[in-house]
Amino acid sequence: MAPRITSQIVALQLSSQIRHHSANLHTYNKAVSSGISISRPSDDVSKFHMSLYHRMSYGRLSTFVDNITFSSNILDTIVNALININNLLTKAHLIASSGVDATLDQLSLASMGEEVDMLLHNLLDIFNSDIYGSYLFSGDLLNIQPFSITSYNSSGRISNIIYVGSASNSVGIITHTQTIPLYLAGGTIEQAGGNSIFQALIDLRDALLINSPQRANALTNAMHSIEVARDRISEYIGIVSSRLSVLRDLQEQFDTLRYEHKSMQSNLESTDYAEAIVKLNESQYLLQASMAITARYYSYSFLDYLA
Amino acid sequence: MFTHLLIGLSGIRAANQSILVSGHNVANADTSLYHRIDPILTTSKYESGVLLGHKLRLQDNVLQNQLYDKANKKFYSDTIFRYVSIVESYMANADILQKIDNIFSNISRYSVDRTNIYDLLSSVDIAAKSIHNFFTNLSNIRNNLRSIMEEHVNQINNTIRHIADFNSQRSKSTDFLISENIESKIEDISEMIDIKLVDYKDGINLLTAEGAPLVLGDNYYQLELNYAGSNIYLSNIFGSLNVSYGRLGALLFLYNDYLPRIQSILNSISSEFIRSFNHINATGISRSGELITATSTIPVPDIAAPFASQNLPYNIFTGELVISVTDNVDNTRTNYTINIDPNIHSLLDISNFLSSIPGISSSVSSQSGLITINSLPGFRFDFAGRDTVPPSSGPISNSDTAGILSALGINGLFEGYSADTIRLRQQFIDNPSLLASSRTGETGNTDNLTRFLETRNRSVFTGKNIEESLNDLLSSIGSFINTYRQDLDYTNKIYDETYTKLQEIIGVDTNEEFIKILGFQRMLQSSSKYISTVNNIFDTLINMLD
Repeated sequence: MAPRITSQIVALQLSSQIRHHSANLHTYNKAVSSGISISRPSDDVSKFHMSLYHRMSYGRLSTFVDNITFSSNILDTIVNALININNLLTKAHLIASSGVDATLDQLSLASMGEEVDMLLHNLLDIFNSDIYGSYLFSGDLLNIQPFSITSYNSSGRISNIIYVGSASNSVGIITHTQTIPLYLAGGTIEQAGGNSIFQALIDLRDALLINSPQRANALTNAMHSIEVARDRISEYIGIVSSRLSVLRDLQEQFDTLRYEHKSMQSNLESTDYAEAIVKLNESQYLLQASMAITARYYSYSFLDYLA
Repeated sequence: MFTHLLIGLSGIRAANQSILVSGHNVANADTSLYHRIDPILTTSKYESGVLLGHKLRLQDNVLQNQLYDKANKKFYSDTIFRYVSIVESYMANADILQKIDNIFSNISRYSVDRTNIYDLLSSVDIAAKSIHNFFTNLSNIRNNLRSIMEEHVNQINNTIRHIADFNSQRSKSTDFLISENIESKIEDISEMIDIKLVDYKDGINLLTAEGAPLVLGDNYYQLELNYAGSNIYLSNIFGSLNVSYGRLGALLFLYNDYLPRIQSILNSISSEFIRSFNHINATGISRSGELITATSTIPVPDIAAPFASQNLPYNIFTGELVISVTDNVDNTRTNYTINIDPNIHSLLDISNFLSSIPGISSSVSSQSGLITINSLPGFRFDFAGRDTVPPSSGPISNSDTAGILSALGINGLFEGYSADTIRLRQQFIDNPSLLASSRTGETGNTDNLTRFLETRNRSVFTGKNIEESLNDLLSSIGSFINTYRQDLDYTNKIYDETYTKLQEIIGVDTNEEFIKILGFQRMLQSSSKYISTVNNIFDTLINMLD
């Protein structure tokens, strides 16, 4: 015998079907309109877990890349400063070699001495230059101007400059395992081969300005000190440039990894449009069918056949 | 001959009464759990017509009890799914994991870009607020659950009183039983708690699943919610009641077990995070240099009692605290070591130790339970464990092996000790350069930033990774919801199936009723025609007399 089908059974089944199809339609509507299929753990715990991993990794790598970009700016500025120092020293060396010429009169030598004095001030400015408020050559003591004039001679010219920055380089954290020296301890650079670059220029200037029988010797010594300093500066340019090169390589690696993580995250989180649209249409048809059946069911009644 | 008329009359009367019953059925066709009534006609004695013998109320006690059972399981799953989904939604929106990650990103950025200090402190503030807000949202859900439970208990009490009234009156009239749709009221209760029906006296007798009486005959035993600490339990005059299913069972589970468990995990994670960061900040040096004053933020109830007896949120270990005192005049730095035993030493003892150090004064407020350390004029102090000036034995890797600085919140980054109380200290919002980024005191030194970053992979105290812990919490909530989503699908289907089967037996098919009504109509018409025919016969017989 066929079971008794009451209006409550029909209503229960129809409403259950409509609720089910509506929920599916809502899910696929959301997935299609937002482009995201997983927005919370319960959508798919393992996928959410993996997606979170890729999202976090992407975020970390982005930070690393930002750190590299920022560090590269600093190192680029330092390289430029070192190149400028090297150029200044080249000029000073040229002046010193010109000064050796015994035919030059005192006026010409004094004029060359003035030029060296200007170079000394320029050198001091470069060694005390900063980027974003941090001194390039003060090492760990970022906010302390690294080189300071401690005395002037009787002509009011600089006679001594000392280093007051840190003895250690400031370290920038690129990744959780990789660090890089950023702001250099200027004292080590300035003390090339045990001689102070500033002192070499001061000695050169004084040798040119003051008419002395030891001038030739003094100029020769100054030239030697400048050559040693230039070698030292060139060495540092090489060191910092190689750090920049390492950073560029790292950035390339991180960019590739970032792309991969983003791609994985997107694969996991993003809506598969082909599937979602097919299922959206399916849910729509099923919902329409359920509604049509509901309307049709309630339009039939035994009452219609009663006289 | 009058018997003929009475027979006809009985047919009309029985048909009329049956049409009434069918009409009642049709009218209640959509009443939930309405039991169809079948009019049962019986023949009168001595061939004197027909009677409406009785009204059969269709029922199936086995299916009915199954329905109650399925209802309380269905509504248990439904309630858990609904509220845990809200918890998940709050947690997903709080996005604590990302915000914690932002802190670490900004710390490493700060090591290369010193202008990033505002972003760094802002990310710390945002993460602290997210943790706090999520915790508060859980507490709000919990408070709302309590109100809902009170409403449910009132509803159950009203219904059991109604059932007891029904029991006391049911013997008075059979029609009363029919007019009452008592099963739907029992189902209302079964939505809320797990019950069972038993034979005890006449009427509906209800017990809880564990056997505590709710309704026995015309007696009912009202439920009440009791508060024990932060938990709620249900009881009536027979004692406390265990409710395992139904909405109330789910609400009690969420209130007493699930939400506190989530809050406890969040508290543990936050507590460890706060302590690690506070320890690192306290044992580092900021761009502003050494300290001239530092006050604790976690009060000690009894300043004269040993720490171990004070039930502090953080343990203090047997160990050392090294304080470095710098003389501003000659820039010499001297290290002093305080040996701490939490079973012996009190806050007052520590204060006295500190005050005995040259250049330092310390005081303890018995009212607030806080300690304040000040340097005397011409001195500064820190806990970074640097080597002395002039140098002696070298720097100390951990200057606070007792963990007292983080336990008391001295020179820490955060106030509080849990998700509920976490807050970035106002002084860092006002002056971000107070963040201890170095261990040497040199502004470019990033040793302390490296220590902060190391907490990403392991905590300073327990070795637990905060990101993994938060990830586990998120995943466990997601898995829990999925379990109950599947359970809800299953219990819904089972409930619907049971309801359908029960409806097949007790429900009203209006077409069937209309067919019956047509039959009764025909019966009425036939009886009427019979009376008319008998009347004609009477007329014929009487006319024969003329």
